Formats: sequence, C-alpha cells, structure tokens
Amino acid sequence: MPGEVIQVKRHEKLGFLERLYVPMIVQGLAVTAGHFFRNLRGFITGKNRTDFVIQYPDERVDYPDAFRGMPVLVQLDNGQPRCVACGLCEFACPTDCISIVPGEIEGARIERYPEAFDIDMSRCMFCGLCEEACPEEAIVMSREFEISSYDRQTLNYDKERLLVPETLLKRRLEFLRGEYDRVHAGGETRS
Amino acid sequence: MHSVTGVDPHLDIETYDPSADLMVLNLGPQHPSTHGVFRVKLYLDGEIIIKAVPYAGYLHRGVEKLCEELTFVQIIPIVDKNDYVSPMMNEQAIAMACEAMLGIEVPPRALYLRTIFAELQRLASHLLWLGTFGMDLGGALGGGATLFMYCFRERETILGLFEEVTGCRFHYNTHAVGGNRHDITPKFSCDTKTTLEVIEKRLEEYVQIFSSNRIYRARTQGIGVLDGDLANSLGITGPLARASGVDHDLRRDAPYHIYGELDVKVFTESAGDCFARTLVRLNEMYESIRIVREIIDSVPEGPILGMKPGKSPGHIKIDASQGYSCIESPRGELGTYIIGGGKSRGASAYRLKIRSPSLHAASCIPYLFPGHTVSDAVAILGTLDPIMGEVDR
Repeated sequence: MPGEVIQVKRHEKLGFLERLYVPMIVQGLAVTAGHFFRNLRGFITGKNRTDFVIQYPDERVDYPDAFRGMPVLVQLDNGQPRCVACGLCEFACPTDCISIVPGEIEGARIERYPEAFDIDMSRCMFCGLCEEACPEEAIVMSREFEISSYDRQTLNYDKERLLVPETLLKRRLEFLRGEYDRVHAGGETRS
Repeated sequence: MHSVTGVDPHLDIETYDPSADLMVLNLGPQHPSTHGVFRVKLYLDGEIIIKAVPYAGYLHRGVEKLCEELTFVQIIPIVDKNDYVSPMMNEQAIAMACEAMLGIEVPPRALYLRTIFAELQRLASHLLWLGTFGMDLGGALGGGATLFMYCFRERETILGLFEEVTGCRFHYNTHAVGGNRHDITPKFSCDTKTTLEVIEKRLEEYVQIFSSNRIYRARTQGIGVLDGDLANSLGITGPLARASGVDHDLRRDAPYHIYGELDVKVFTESAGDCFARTLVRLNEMYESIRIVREIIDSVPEGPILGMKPGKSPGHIKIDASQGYSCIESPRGELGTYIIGGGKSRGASAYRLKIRSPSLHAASCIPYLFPGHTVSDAVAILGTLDPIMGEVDR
C-alpha cells in the first residue's frame, strides 16, 4: 500500500539489564572504544584510515573538479584579460560585488577591455552566477578559497590581483566545457 | 485555548503567588543549546519554569524583501541561507514555486535528482540534529560530544557527495527554475551507495550508545509532551507533528518530485514527548536511506533543464501571476508563495512569502516549557530543532 503509516515501536519498559544501567554504559563505551581503536590503527599504519582528521594546513583535501572557489579573471598569453567588459556578470551578481569600468582600444582585434574590474570578496558568496553568465569564459571560479584577511580593504580585489593565467585554470575550464555539453545536450550550443 | 498538563502559557506573572521565589532567566541569545541566536525569557519558580516567552528576530535578514529586488535566477543562491542545515530544500521550494508560476514542466531526470538530493539532505539534517541533541543532553550520553563528532563525520560524507556534484558543501546553487544546474555522474551513484552503507551501519551503533541508556530515557520520556490537537492548531508539521500522532507527510499527501511513484512510509508516534520525536527522526533517517537506494539506480537519461538555458539573469519574465509550492523539509512543511510581475519588467517577484516550519515549531515553546526544569527546556528545544535562520528569515 503506498504511503503506509507505521506506528513507531516504543520500548517504554526497560529490561532488567537495561535498568541495571552499568551494562548499558559498558555497551556504549564498547562502541566508542571500537571507533577509537579502529581510528588509531588506521592512523598509525596509514592503511584503511577511518579517522576524519586532516592535518590542515600540512595536509589538504583534494577538492572535486566541480569545486567553486573565488571568481578570477582568465589571463591570456599576452597578459591581457579575456574579458570584453560586457557587464553581464555585473548584472548577474546577486550581491552586486562586481564593478566594471569598460575601456576601448581603437583598431585592436578585441576593442573592448575592462579598464577596472573590481570584486568585493567580502560580499561575494561564490554562487557561480557570474561564471554562468559570462559569454567569453573570462570569469571563472578558481580553486582558491583561503582569502581571509585582517583588513577589509584587502578583500577588495582589483583587476591585477584577479588575473590568473589560463594554464592555471585549465582544470576548471575543462570541467566547465564538459559540464556545459552534458547539461545542455540538445539545447543551445556554445559557439 | 489549549493547555498542556494544566499549564497556562499566557500566565500573568503579576498574579502569580507573591511569596514564590521568582527569578527571570534569559536562555540565549548566544546560548549554544538554542542552535542560533534565539532568546527565551524564562520565569522560574525555584528551578521550575512557570512561563516561557520566546523572542525571535535576532537573525532577521529581510530575505523576502530582498527577493523582490533580485530576479528569479538570483534568488536561488540567496534562499540557501534560510534553513542553513538543509539548503537543498530551500532551493527546491523556491524553484518549484517559480515553476508553478511559470508553468514549466521539469524533466524526469531532474525530478529524480531532486528527490535524491532531498532525501540525502534530510539524512544530513537529521544527523546534525542527532549530534547536537546528544550535545544538548550532555553527560547523559557519556559526554555527548562523542555522538556529536560521530554524527558530523557521517554528515560530512554526505556533504562531500554534494560537493562532488555541485561544487559547494553548503550553498549549492544547484537548482534552477525548470530543472537542475549540475548533473550527477555514475561515480556519484557509486559513492552514494557506499556512503549510505556506512551510515546505516554506524547509525545502529549510535542508537546503541544512547537508546537503552537509563539516563537518556529519564531525560526524554514524558518530557515536553506536545498534544496532537495543539500541534495542529499551531500549524506544526513534520517530525514534530508525527511524533504527536498527526499523520501528515507531504511526500505522501501531496506528492511532488517523484514521491507519487514511491512507497513512502510515514512514521508516527502517539506519545509526543522528546523520546517520541527522537524515534520518529531516527526512523525517518532509515527511510531516507531506503528511498535513495531505491531510486539511485533508476535515474532516467535525458535533459535536466526543462527550458531553454538563458545567459542573462533576467531571462525569466512573467506578468502578474502566482504560484505556490510546499515540500516536506526535514522540519516540516516548507511553503513558498510567489507573485510574479515585479521589478525589472517582470523578471523579479512582486512578493514572496516563505512559510517556514521552524517558526511554527518555535511557537510551541510557551506551551511546552512550563512545568519543566531548565535542563529539560534544553532537551525540549533540542528536539524541536528550530533553525533560527528559517524562523527569522
């Protein structure tokens, strides 16, 4: 029968052993001791580790490909950002943390470029909407997230600090392309 | 007016026995057992609470108003922060409300993904509750921090699964209006099965730690009895109501996602005390594991987004129109009512209302606390499991 209702069994009355209390304490301690020795064995031998402690920052977890860290700008080989200052990420950002001042170069192949590109990381929540909105793959979520600082001003990232060479962002860019093909299969394709 | 065990929740302190040893105690706003910033003003006669007045609003962030400014695409990462223990549910609620308003059909694969995510999130949320409840009871469980650490370890594995799919442990931004953003891989289903196996095995161990412990029983049995009628009149839903004998579960009563095809078991208890609430939640955890196992292998192939993907955050536009969705979050009925046709030429909501289960759960505090000691108040608050981000929004 779908949506069966099950009255939960409630053992209101405790048995004799349970009322004695001490055997139950021993049972509880046996569980915790079991965990302790299993963890200890794994920690010493290094095999089948069951302990979850990671000796940060000496040890680090390898985050999955999908990991979203802070947004950065992709830097081309010529040192310029790939960004064309279209302003879509600025428009997409729910927290209004991106501010762009567009500039133009007369006669260049790509005319528009961002004269200033600031991201206020104290407001950014790493949601990834800017990355999704970007038509040029120019702003991507990096794997960097340890950006805490003692000073609020330090969290205001300008263009120079946001630029990351394309080769360092390869993992994310490849992931994005694969994800895009998979998710939007049969739909609109990226040119 | 309902009253529990002959206690008047609206007791006028002025008319109370003047010779009594009265004392006012503020539980919170920074008390660890309130699981957030929440203040309960307790009037004590000796150690017995005679009146409890909850004060909410310390975590009010104006999310509903903010959602009127942002577009339908932008509000999804924002509502993640409402119920910060089960963000998936918030996203689903808001996405479903938008879909109801826009009349978008969600593809079957996305529905399967949503169901899997919802059940895993329910499991994670209940694990967190179990851990913090062990902490609340403290010494009763042989130093409750052990259970807390164990439960967080298990919860971490579930968050790891989510991270693998969505890229974030917590504020996923994985649901979009019309479907999902991120797709699962075969590796995900494999990992999920292993994780569930481990969790199921360990849950049994954890139950062993406390279930037949006499001190635990003394702290929970007969404490904070919530009457089924009172639960109904206060609008309490979810595990709380089910522990009071109210047979109500939206997964079965108003099926969404693919729950209509599934055989969701509803666990009820009639006693309505802290122990009953514990039992109901524990059984729900096993039920979530069962549901995920049942559907993880039968996820159909196909698209996961039911509409043409748009680049601009304002690509979803609608004139005046409305939609309502309600889902069974780990804490009860999470409803979202949305009216379209707001700012940015209809790309944002005119008004958004979230019916949060935690607010209703917190509303029974004046009825449950009187007659108990302060230490019992902590146990009751622990089983009510209100998430303050959701109470205040």
